[in-house]
Amino acid sequence: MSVLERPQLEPEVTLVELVDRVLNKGVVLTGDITLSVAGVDLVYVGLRLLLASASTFDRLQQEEAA
Amino acid sequence: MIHLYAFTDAGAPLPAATGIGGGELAAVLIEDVAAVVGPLQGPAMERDDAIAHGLVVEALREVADAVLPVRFAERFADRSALADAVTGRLDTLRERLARVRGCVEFGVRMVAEREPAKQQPTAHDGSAYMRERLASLARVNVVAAELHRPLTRCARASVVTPGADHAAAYLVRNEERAAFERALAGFVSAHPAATVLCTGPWAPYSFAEAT
Repeated sequence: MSVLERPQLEPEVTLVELVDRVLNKGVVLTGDITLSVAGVDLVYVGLRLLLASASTFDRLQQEEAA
Repeated sequence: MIHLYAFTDAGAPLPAATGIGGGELAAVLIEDVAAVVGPLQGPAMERDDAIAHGLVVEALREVADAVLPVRFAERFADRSALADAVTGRLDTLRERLARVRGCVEFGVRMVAEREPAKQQPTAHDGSAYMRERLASLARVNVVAAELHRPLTRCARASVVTPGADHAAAYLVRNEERAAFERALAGFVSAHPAATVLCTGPWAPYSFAEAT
C-alpha cells in the first residue's frame, strides 16, 4: 500500500485497528455481552496519539521538502 | 469452555496457528458451515486474548475463501451449546459467507486539510462565524466524497463509520484490490495535504453483521 508508508507507525496502527475490529465488529450470537477488557483503554489512547502524530509527521515532511 | 473465532465453509482449511493460550484450533461442522473454535481456560478478557483472537481470524482469512469473523467474547460450555446457538442462524450465516466470499476488508481514515485558523470571532459577528464554520464543513464533505466515491466503485460494499473527516470500511474483491489501491493513491496525489490512513487487508469484520 503506497499510502501509509511510515514503518515506525505501522505496528501501532495495525494493533489499534485489529483490537477495534475484534471488540466492536463481527458476528454476534449471544448479543448480550458487556465487555470489559483489561488494557484496552490504553489502546484507544494510542489511536488519538497516532492521528495527531500522523498529521504532525506530514507537516514535518512538508517543511523538510520546502 | 470453547471460544468461537469465526465461521467459514465446511471443508475450508484451518490455519497453522494457535489460539488464545496456545490452544489448538478445530472446526465444528454445523451442516455446511464450519465454526472455528479453540479451548479456553478461564475468562479470557485480557488485551492479549483479544489480539490472539484477531490473529487467528487473520490467519484463517489467508487460507480460507470465505470468513465471517466473530466478535471477541463468544464462548460456550461445549460444542452442543455452540450448535444450539448457531442452528437458528444458519441461513443468515450462509448468506453473509456468500457476500464476503473472495473479498477482504480495507479500513480508510482521512483527515482533510484545514483552513488556517481564523481569529477568534467577536460576539457581534457570531452568525458570520457560523457561516464560515458551515462552509468549512461543506468543503470537508466534498473532499470526503472525492475519496469515498472512487473507492466504492472498486468495492462490493462499504460502511461509513463516525470518526475523522471520513472513516469507512470497504469490502473489496481480491481481483479489485489493485484498482482499489490505485483509487486511493489517486486521491492522495490529488490531495497531498490530507492525511490518509489505509489498513488492510482484514477479514471482513465490518460486513459480518447486517449493514
